[in-house]
Amino acid sequence: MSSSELRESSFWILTALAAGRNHGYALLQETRDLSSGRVDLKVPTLYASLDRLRDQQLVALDGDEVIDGRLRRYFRLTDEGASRLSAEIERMEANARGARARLKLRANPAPMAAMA
Amino acid sequence: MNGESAERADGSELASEYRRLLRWYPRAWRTENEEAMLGALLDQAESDGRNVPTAAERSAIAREGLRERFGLPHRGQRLRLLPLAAGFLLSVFYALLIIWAPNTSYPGSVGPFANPSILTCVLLVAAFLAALLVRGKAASVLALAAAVAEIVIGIVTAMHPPFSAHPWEGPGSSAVVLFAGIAILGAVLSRQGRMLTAGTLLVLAAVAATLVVSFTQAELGLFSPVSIALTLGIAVAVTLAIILLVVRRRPRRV
Repeated sequence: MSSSELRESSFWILTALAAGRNHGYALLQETRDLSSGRVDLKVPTLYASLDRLRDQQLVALDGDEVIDGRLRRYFRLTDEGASRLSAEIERMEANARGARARLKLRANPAPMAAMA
Repeated sequence: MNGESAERADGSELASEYRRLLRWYPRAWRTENEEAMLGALLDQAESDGRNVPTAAERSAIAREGLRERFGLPHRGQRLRLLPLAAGFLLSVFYALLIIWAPNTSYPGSVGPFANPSILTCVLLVAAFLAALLVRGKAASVLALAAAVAEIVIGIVTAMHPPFSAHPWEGPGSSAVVLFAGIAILGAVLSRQGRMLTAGTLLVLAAVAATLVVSFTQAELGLFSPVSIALTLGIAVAVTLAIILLVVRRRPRRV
């Protein structure tokens, strides 16, 4: 498993696929919703990200379907992708714990500082 | 799926317009992916209630298509190209405006160029083009060759000053330091993985040692301004190389 960080767009794509297979347009909507609008990918950018994630075997193709005359290509999260997403979540949680602990120190200053 | 079915189903010119834009991508890519991307683009347009591609879509298709076609580097890699881009610009400027002298011929001139640093310029331009095509190793080797070439040219020039028995036209010491510094930085940053290999470091150390030895043999003496400038430049470059070798590269974002 790679130790490199995930871009935010990659993180949300993997997160969107964690619930199950999905196609390109639905992934655009899901990543936008999940990120509260911060990640607003265009279709070509989404496909470039998916190509990169596929190269790293974090995402795999999961068949094509024709709906109303349009081709929809489905993608799924691989086991490696799930592990990678878990590792990223743990990293973010560790960061959050550290930041929260520091904020508590600010709210409750040490006695020495209070005496001074 | 039939390539034209999307147009028929959609009954619009929008699909044709998207298909035309998708020609930015190479044919092999389109054979495999065009219908899928077209379907997503049409879904998005339908959701937005529009019948023309947006400007952002047009630029994204062009950008990603060119990247797919030519293997252009992604955003994270582009910053690593800055030294080689600077080297490219410097080389073009130097070759065309500084040393372009088609009607002169004397020891050191090379064809229509006034001094042999044209070799360094050519190598740096090639290194930049290789880096643009994501040929990191080739770019690194070419940039390193440019650095070595410029340093050797600088040594030869310093050993044959203008008023000696065998004068030799070459670049000034500032040009040598500038070219060699940019080339070494470009060689270091254009590599993937570790920023500098042990082999590269050894080459740099050998070049630095050669430089010092050359100056002890030259009539200039170790403490002339030229030799001090060159030696300092090499010392800085080698120190930087060692630092970059030791410090781990920041993890690449996926």
